[in-house]
Amino acid sequence: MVSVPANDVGLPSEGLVERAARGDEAAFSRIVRLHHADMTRVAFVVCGDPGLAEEAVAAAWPIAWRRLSSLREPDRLRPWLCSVAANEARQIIRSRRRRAVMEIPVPDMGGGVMVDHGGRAMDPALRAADLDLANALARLAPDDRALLALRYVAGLNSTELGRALGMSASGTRARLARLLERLRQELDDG
Amino acid sequence: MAEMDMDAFEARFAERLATYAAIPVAPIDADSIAHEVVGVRPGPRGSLRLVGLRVPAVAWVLLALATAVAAGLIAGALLHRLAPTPRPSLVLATETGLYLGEPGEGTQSGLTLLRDDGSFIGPRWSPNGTLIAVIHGPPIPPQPGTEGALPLTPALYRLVATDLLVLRPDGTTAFAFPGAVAGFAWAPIGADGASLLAVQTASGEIAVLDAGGRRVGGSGARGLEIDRSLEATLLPPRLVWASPTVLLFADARGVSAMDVASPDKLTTVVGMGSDAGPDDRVTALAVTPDGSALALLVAPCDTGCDGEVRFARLPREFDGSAEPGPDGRSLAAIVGAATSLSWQDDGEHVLAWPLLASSGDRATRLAASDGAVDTRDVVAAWTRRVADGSSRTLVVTRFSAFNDRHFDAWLMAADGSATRIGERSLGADLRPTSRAGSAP
Repeated sequence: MVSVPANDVGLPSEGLVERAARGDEAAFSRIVRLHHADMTRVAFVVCGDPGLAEEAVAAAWPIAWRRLSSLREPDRLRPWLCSVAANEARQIIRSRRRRAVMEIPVPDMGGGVMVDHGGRAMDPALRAADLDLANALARLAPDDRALLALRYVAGLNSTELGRALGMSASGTRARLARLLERLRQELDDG
Repeated sequence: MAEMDMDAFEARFAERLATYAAIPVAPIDADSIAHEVVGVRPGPRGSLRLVGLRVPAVAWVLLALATAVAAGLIAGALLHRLAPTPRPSLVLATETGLYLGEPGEGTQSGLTLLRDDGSFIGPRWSPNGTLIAVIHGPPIPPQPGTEGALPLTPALYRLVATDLLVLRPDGTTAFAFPGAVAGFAWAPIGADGASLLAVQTASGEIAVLDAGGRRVGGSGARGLEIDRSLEATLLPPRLVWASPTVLLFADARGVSAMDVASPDKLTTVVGMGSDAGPDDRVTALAVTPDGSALALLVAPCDTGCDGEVRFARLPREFDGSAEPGPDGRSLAAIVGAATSLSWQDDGEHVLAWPLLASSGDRATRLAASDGAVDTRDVVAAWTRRVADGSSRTLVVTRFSAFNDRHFDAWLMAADGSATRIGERSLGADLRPTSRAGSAP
C-alpha cells in the first residue's frame, strides 16, 4: 500500500468553497494561499519546468474560480484544484510541442552553482538520481505524467483520477500499472 | 513475488516523485491573484459587503465615479504644475503607419497617426527625446480577412527597408539615410547636447551620423552576415554605444569598438572564444547604464537558436592599443526565444527574455503575470524608465498561423501585467526620461 498525500490542509476547506462560490474574494484568496504550492508542484511534474508550471497554475486559477460552484464535494477541493492545474500544464506542454520551441531550464546552464530543477543548491550524487527520474518522466506523454502527478503528488484515488482524466477507475488503474512497470525498467530501481 | 516487487517499487517511486516535485515555490500574493481572478467574473450578487453592511452596486458605482472625478481633478492640477505642456511618450510603428501618443488600454488606442506613407519598423527616440529614428519601407499590402475584422498580413511577405527616417515629433523629416538599413543605435547625449546615430546597412557597413544627418565616421563590413528577414530587422541591432563617441559592434571576431575620433583604430573588446562553434556569433549587445560593462548574446543563429548570455568588463581606452579582450564570462544559457538584451537601471541585471540574468551568476525566469503575453511568442523585449521613475518593458510578440503572420507590441509593467498597445505592430518605444543612451 502506497502512502500518498492526504487531503488535509489543516483548515475547513468546506466553508471556504461555499463562500468562494458565492463570490467571496477573501475566501478565494485563502484557497489560493492554501493550494497554490501544491498545484505548482503537480504542474511541475507534468511540465518538467518551474516556469511553465507557474504559467499553468496562473492559467488554472481563473478556471477554478469560474467552475468552483460545480464542485459538489468541497472536501475534495485540493485534488480538484490539482487536476485543474495538471490539465492546464498538459495544455501548455502540448502547445509548446506544437510550436517546436525547446526551452532549456535555467539551472542546466554551464558553469555557476550546481542547482536542481527548482533552483536549489544540490548534492551532485542526488542530482544524478534526480536527472534519471526527470529523463524518465520526459520520455512519457504529458497525459501519463499528469496521471503520475495526480496520483503520487496530489494523492488522487483511482476514481478521482478517472474523473480528472476522463477514464474509468479500472482503466486508470491498468494504465497506472503499465506506467509503473515501464518506469521500473527504465529507472532500474532495485 | 513480482507483485510484491511492484508494490515496493511503487512505494519507492511515490517517495522519489514527491521529492522531485517538492520544488521551492516562490511566495505569492494570494490576495492579488484572487482579486485579479475575481475581477474577471464578479460575484453572483449585485452588491458587496462593507464592514458588514450590504451596499447596493449602484452606490459603489456612484462612489467610484465621485472618487475618480476627484482624483482626476487633483491629478490634473498636479500634472499641469509639473508639466504644463505634456509631450507624447509612445511611438508605435505598424505595417501601414507611425503613431504617437500615450499608451492606452487598447491597440492604437488614443494615438495620433503621424505618418501613413509606408511601413515603419523599430522606432527609437533619441536620448534627448527630440527625434525619432525609424526604419521605413513601402506599405505592406493587406490581404482580405474575415469580413469586418482586421485584414490579415500575408504569411510570406517580405519587408523591404528602403531608408532610415529621422523624424521630428510632428512627423516632419529631419533627415533620411537612404538604403537597405538593417539596424541603428542612438549614442548617449554628447557634450553638445545631441547624440550621434550609428546606422548599419544590410551589407554590414556602418555609418555614423551627427544630429544633422551628416556622416562623421564609419566602418566597412567586418565579416558579419546580416540577416535580412523581417524578424531580424525587428530585433535590436548589433550596435551599441559605450559612450557618446565610442561605438561597439558585433563582427566575425566578436565585439569591436570604434572611437569616432579615430575610426581606423578598432579594438576587439570581446573575443568569440576558442570553444565557439563554427556558426556562433554575437546576436545582441547591451552596455550597462554606467558604460563599464557589456552583456552579449552568443548563438549560432539570429533567431530561434539556443544561446548564451555573456558578461565582460569594458576597457577604459578604445584606441586600438589594447590586446583582444576576454571571451566574456558566461552568465546564463538561454532558450531560442531570447533575441534581445537590455540592462536594467541597477546595472546588475540584464533582461534576455525570458530570463533576467545578473552579473552575480543568477538567472530568473520571467513571465507575464496575467498570461496575456506568451513567453514563447516574444521576439524582443527591452526596458525603459518612464516619467514617474518606474520602468516599463516593451515587448514584441510574433503571431504565426498558416495564412497569417504578424507582430504585436505590448507594454509590460514591473508586476508583469501587460497591455497590448499595438496590433500588427512592428515595434514601439517610449520617450526616454532621466537616463539617456540605454536604448538597445
